[in-house]
Amino acid sequence: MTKIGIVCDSTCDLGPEWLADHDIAMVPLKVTFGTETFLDWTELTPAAFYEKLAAADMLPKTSQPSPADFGAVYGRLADEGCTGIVSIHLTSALSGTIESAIMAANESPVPVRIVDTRVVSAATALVVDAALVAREGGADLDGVEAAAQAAADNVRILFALDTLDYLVKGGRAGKAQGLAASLLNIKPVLTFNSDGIIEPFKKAKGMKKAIAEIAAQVAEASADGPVKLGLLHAQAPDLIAELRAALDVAGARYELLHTVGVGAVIGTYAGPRAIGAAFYRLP
Amino acid sequence: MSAHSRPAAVDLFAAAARALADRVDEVNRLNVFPVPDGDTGTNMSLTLEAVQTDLDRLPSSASIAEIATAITHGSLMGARGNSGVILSQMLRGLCEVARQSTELTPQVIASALDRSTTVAFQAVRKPVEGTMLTVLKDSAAAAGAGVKTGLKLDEFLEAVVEAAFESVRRGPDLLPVLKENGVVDAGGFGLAILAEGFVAALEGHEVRDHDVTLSSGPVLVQPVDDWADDEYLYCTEFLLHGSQADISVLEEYVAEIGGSELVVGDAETYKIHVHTDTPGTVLTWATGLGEVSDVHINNMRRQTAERAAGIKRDAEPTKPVGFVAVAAGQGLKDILLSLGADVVVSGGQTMNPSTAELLEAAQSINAEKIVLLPNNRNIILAAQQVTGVADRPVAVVPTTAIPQAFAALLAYDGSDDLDAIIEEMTAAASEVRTAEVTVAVKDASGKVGPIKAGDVIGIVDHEIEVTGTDVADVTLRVVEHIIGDDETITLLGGEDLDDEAMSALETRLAEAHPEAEVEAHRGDQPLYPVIVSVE
Repeated sequence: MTKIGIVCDSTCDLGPEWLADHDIAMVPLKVTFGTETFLDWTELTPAAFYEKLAAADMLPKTSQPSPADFGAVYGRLADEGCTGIVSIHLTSALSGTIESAIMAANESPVPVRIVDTRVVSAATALVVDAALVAREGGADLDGVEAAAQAAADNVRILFALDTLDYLVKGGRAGKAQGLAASLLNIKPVLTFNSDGIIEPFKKAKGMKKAIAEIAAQVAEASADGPVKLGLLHAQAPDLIAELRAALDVAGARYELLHTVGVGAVIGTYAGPRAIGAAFYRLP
Repeated sequence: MSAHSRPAAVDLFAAAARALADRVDEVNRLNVFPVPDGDTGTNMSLTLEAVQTDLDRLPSSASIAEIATAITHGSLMGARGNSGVILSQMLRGLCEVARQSTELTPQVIASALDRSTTVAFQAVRKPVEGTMLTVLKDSAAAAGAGVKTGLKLDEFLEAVVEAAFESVRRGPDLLPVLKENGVVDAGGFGLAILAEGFVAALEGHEVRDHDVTLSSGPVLVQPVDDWADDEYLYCTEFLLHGSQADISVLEEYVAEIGGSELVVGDAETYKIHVHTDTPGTVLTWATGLGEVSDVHINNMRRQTAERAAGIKRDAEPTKPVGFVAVAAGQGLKDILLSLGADVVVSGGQTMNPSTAELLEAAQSINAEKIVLLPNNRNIILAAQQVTGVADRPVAVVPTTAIPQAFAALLAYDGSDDLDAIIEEMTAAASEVRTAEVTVAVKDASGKVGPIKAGDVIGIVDHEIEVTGTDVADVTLRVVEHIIGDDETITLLGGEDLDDEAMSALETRLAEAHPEAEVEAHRGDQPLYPVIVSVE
């Protein structure tokens, strides 16, 4: 009986407890306020991060895990008897995390298959979940990797930010950069394109319209059958309630797998009161 | 070749002027000397236009002498800029010979060019080689040689024109600033184009495109926007009438107070052109000598900066689609620009921009296609007329209120399919309902009953739906007329609504409509203290 290891990084925002419960190893990214560095999720909960963010006079900085961080985890899984590992990560267009993973994979005692999801947060979480389901179904290394890759190839994420400031100042705005100048209360609905870069999807007048737009897209994607759905929010459970109501109004059909609160690393760029939905349906 | 009867001489002049006018932008772009303000072609063309105006006044029986007088007079009176003044003197020299001639022969032309060269060089205190002066001198020399070798008129004319363009090409070898910038002299090029236009009309062929490309490659003008502090700031020019002063006195004064100085004409009327930092002083001095007219003062630093910006703009990639919106009020303009409008033309209910203004705005944008947002029912027609006359595809989203333009601009998704854009933007605009609050200027009766001047009125779709005495109350009531299950209320405060009143109104609207998001912005629009929209 072969055992397949599943590794993710902290930016899938599934949190250490859930991941541990499901036997998934997590390598945290890091976030630095001034001179203080914390491991995402394991040393800084989302709530604690947003408290610090509100009090900070400088934006925090984020950094990827080192190859050694990945090497330690791959090595431990091999020691525990894993014969292969599927390592699932946030978009390589916005982070060097995958670079570290690849370097560690080259030194790993067991084969490591790296999956670049080209998305983040709840969307990456759906990919992790697909890998988990495949492993529980008895898939081998190829099978788990293929399941994760299929989810990554089909997953979409739409999200609205209360302000683009964090994204722009953090240098991750991509093609949404130009929206920052608007003088109206525009809540841009953003997405990740197939290259894993953020791009504007629609400019909505106010958060209510942004949420309605996201819900409408989920409804459209579920026209032929329910989608697997993950929701994300940044300290805004009220917006999650609004989004779920909007999904019902729009007639979306879905299986809700996760609702995640974004952690410190994603929160550094999303800022407070972001809201979004990730979804896919295999063709 | 027949004797040059009146219509022929005037037609030839007009043909030459037209050849230059057709290439005025090209000439402007070359302009780096004496000041890189990019107006050489324009100045030469304006000078010729002034001549044309004088020529148009002549009776059909005018003699060649009368035509020559008109050209001399018109070009002196209308001369603009350094190049225009020098051109006027070249024309004066040509006319001195032409007025005594009855036929166009190589001898007459060579003699006229010779005289023209003498007069033009005399007018410039410090002639610079490599410029239009050299082009004229070289053309005159070629004409002299042509007479000696006995060329026939058509061969002779070709030789003179070819010599003019050859001189243009050699200019950068004589004037380093041309070589540094990789250009030929703008004035010299303009003069050669005039010669080609004149000869083409005389010989009855098309105006040909002579290659003046430098051996170093295509002409690339670098934007020059660093204005050296030792340069004079103002190009100052005017006519001085009846001064009776000696030309040398005038020349000495302007040479002392500035640079690029030119004094031409006679004691009856002098044309004075000088670059100086103190145009006021120059004019005070001149008004002490005689009567002053036709004063033109240009700030050359600004001209140069504008030109540099223009060159940079031209160097930027052309956008697929540009947007022109119409609005009154700085706040509204700022919002429109932030949403992606490229140009906002001033206008609105009481001030409708003309088709010409909208056309100019549309064509000023570096974009392949243009979308117009008129934002007022009375401006849609003028906007639609632009579509037929513009130099590129233009389409109109028939917006009748500012908030519709906001929605339309937000709906633009970066596509370049004009039909699809118009459909999408029009659909987005139609989802916005707008009400305007203003004060009635006269007694009237509406469907709400009699209205007195001074009443506050709330207007929806050009109908008065609400009347009252208080802007805030009327706003709250008129919003009830337009709101459905809408999510957003946008309040635009006019110049007559202060910040405090706007903020209070925003709060009252939010209390009245807790289910909606309310946002307030300064629009600073005249006449309407409040424009409010729901969507």
